[in-house]
Amino acid sequence: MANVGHVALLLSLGLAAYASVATFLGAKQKLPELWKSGRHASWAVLAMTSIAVVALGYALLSHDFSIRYVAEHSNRDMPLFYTLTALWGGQAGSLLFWAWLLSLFSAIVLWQHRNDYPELMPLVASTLMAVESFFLIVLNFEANPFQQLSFLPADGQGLNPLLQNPGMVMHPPTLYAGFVGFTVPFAFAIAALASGRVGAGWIRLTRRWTLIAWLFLSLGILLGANWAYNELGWGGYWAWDPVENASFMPWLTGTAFLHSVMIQEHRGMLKVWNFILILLTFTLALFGTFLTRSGVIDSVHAFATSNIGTYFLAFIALVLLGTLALLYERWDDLKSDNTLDSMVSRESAFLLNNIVFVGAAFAVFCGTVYPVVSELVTGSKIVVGPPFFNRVEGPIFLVMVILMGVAPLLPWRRASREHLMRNFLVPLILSLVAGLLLTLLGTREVWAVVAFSVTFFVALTILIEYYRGTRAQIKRSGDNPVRALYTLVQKNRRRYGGYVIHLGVVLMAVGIVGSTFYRVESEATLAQGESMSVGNYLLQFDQFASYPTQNMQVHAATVTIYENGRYLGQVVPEKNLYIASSQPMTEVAIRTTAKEDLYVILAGWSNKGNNVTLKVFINPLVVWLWIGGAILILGTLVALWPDPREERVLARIRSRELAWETVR
Amino acid sequence: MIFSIAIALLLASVAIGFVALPLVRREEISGENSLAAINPALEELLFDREVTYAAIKDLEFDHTMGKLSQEDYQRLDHQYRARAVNILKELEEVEHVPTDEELDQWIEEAVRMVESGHTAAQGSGRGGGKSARQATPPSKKRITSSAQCPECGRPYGAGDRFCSACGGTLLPLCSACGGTSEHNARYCTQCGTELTIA
Repeated sequence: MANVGHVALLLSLGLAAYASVATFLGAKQKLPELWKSGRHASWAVLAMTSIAVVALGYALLSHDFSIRYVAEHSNRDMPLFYTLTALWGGQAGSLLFWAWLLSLFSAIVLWQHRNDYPELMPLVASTLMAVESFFLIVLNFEANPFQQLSFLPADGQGLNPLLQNPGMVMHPPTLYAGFVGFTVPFAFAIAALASGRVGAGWIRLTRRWTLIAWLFLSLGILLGANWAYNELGWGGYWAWDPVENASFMPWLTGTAFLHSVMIQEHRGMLKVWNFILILLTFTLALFGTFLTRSGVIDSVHAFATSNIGTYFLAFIALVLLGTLALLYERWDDLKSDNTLDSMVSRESAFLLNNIVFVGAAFAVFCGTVYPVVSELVTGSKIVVGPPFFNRVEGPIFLVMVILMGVAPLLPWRRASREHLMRNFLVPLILSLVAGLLLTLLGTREVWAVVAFSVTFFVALTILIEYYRGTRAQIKRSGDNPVRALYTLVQKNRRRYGGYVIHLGVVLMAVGIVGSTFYRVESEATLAQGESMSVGNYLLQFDQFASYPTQNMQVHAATVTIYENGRYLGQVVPEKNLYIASSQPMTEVAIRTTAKEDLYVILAGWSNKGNNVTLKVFINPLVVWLWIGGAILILGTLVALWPDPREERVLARIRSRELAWETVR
Repeated sequence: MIFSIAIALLLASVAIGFVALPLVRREEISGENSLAAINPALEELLFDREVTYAAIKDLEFDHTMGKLSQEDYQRLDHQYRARAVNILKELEEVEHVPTDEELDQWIEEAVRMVESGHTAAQGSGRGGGKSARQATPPSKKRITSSAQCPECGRPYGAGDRFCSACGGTLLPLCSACGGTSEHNARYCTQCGTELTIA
């Protein structure tokens, strides 16, 4: 199997390199057969990388420990599911997965547009295959998953137990799908610049791809946060860990891109800016893979340390310089069609949104690379902790949320005073009242009051938008409200899907603010039968058990919970020792309600389990973070769902172009 | 060893065959597959048209939602519609199929230009008609002053009331002195000439 893998990877590289060159020459020399041959080569790359993936999967399942990757990331005791998912559990495997995903996406794009946009598509293919070639070079020469050991180990080392969790199984592939997905709009951007068709065409063609990439990236980040919360056992979901930041930075710039393309579509402005945003997003996605895989910054995620870092940095530099050179070349074609009419308009709000998002990404970037820079300059690593990020990002996020409430209500071009009064007065007054109520009810933290009032304001404006839209639709068609609402969303998926996403973000903000400001933490060592009280809860330690399972030794404490004297039930926090890696793993016991999570960790035990140390957190409103996340994903699906009208528009443009060709 | 060499050869030959197929077969490339240059200006215009249509719809929607005052709505709607008309006109121009007479005329003109020492009429076949057509500049209204549209900055001439690019309302321009006057003015506020209204 190792041989098959080796061959498939080498052939993939050859084919991808050929495809990149052939499609480029096909476009330059106007040779359709060369373009077609390059397209075939791209599809062959998918076939070859698929063979490599299957070969590695087979090697894992058949426990072929002569292959180094298999020996290092699996063992005989691992359940079938985790054995298979070890495919992306290590560095070489996950890079193979990256390359495979990119070849899949490329094949789909090239199939979709095999007969369209003959000036753009060859260049798109060329860019995609150039990126693919880079990954295949790394795979063939630096991180080959089929590298063989000189001896045959009896058993493997097993997968890192932290990764043996359903959430963690899905986290890397979704994140990678997001990273890889942004390669598609990037490739279109490069093709647009190279061919000189710098209008809104490339943006329209990649709108859905951008959304798909954004969907996967959001989902990946959410799954990661959820995994950290449920598995890492420190009571939180986000620690500004470098690798978390690595996925968050492209998300921020990608979100800015999603918004700013709308201005270009509507008003023909910000053309250069959109190219820069997609460039930033793509390079940050590469940077994210680099951070995760190079081990340059110590973090819980940086499992791998190797010199692929050099490859990545060189490639990132190449991408940045190349794109900027192209931009410079096309500078004269990139002038705006319009100017900003007024500081109070949807365009200017979008503009501000962009500045805020990119600013947030920049701050995260600084905090993430600071340890490396400080180590380079002073020789000692200075880590920038969560307090820095919370301080810097907190206010930025507040501005983001405010903008989210204000911007959708502003009209394009210019907002009049009466308009502002009519649209904002009611929500503004109501949110002030809400803030006042919160204060009267005993909320003392100023920022919490501000944050809750703002989220309330935003939720209100979104609901008003829905209400007004539905009312207008009823007036227009005379439908009943439910049908009118359906038609409204159906006809404006992008807009109302966007509002659903905003609503999701508002709920997430509620969860984040609640759990950041009102977290309660307590720790106690209890003898059997003793209890501790945290907030309104009373926790009583009943018994301790220790027993082996297939691949670990389980240590579990049974704890009975009372709230205000009322019996609620039992929870069982565990601490398990994985036999193969002799690594301990915390299994947190979480009791979730709409109001708060009770988060119980078994921190330790002594005296044969007669005494246990429990660490308990009360995390208010956390569940809204996950609910909001689910709504965000739902809204993205609404915005993303194929719109027959959009297809028709593109088909119409295409047929007119063809008609023009034939009559000429 | 032999097994892996066989696999390598097999995979390689299948892949190479698949890739070389279009080069060897050289099938008749239909219009759909051709790499012949599609007029980028045409594509840009078609996309622009869709964007403008969408903007007009959006305006109407914003208006019904109460985000735009009646006055603003009418002004903006007017502007976008004017832009749409302009795009349609330009589309017509780009997509225009020349008649035989027109072609004859262009050829004559191109020949004249070549004879008089210009080399503009080079090119052959499909490109010929187009470059010949470029030899005849479209007749444009003479611009008499440096007055610019307050909305988009495009220069305009005396007698223009609305901008040809964006549909914005223009200040009346005097044909005698080139100065601009107030809206609704009948005589130039700078030289007293009666203002023409086209």
